Amino acid sequence: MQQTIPADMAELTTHAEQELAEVSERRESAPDIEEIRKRMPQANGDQDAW
Amino acid sequence: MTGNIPAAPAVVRAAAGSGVGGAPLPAALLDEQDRHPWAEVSRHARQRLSAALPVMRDEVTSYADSVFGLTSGFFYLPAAQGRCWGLRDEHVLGELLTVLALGHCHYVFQDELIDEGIAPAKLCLVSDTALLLYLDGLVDLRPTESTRYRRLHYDTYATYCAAILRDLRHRSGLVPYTASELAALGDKAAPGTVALHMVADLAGRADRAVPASTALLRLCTGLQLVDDLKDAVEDLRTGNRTWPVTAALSAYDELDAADPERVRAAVVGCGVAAGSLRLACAAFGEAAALADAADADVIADLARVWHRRAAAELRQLEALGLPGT
Repeated sequence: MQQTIPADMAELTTHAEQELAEVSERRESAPDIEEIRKRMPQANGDQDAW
Repeated sequence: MTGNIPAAPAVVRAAAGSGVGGAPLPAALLDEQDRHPWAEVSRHARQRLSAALPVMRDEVTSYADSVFGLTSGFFYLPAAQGRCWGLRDEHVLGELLTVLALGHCHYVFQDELIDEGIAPAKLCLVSDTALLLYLDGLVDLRPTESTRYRRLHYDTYATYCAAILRDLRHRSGLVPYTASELAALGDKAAPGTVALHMVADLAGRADRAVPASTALLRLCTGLQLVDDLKDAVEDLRTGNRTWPVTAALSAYDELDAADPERVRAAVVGCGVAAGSLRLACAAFGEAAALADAADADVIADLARVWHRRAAAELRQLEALGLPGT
């Protein structure tokens, strides 16, 4: 679905492109999930933002 | 989560001062909450629904506060912004909060149905009436302009539908997100801007309505990014392919919602956790700047609060020194 980008959203869209590119680059070399799991703290149960 | 909408103020379930990073809510929101306590708002909403549908009185009485919006700061945003613009009629502000709670009741049902594919049957029966009471109550605040506000509702609802359609497109598989989709995540809150138009008009600040609405939607993009990150496990379970879920599944095979720690690790490892928080910070920063330009101090303050919260969480994530951050 093509989406028109409002002019005032151009900056955030550019930022989003950068973040998408970084995530995409990592996909082929994603670190071992168990390594991350061992070092992560427990979820803190924060509530929704909305 | 689909992300409720503030008109139907979806709104913040967190009690004042809680949330990511712990930055307290703006004083104007807390003040509005003090003036119109949640117990009072939800009681009025239940009474309104029960009066319209006496046969459903027991059902409506049984609803948890969350069905009507809870005591969040976000729920009080339109009223607080209206007061900031000079609206002082407590009856009008109280009525606005009641109708927003009714709208929330409708969208709780709609969100649950969209997200889960199933919703409580009795809530289904109540939902349509809740929407009608919301719309009728809202336009009654300024009956001479009722056609315009209904038109605004239809227009903003169309924006909401377009946003939901973009979400649904991702459920057909691992469909990559586009930058414009991420930047417009806040569009799901578009119907909430009708209340902002209403308070701007009532306060004699009609010229502020459009720029303030733009700021609000940018704020909501940030909120959606934060929520999607937090809800990744649940969204994986329900098949809601948000950006965090899609990115995690693209990087790691065989993620199972029954193993939430593994899912959260995947969300960090693929880089989408840090990316979401950085993008949320950018959205909150833009929202604050847009709100400042619109003289919408309450929106600006709330955007800054969330910028601090997201930035604090990003710092915590980075401090762990994990790959992906």
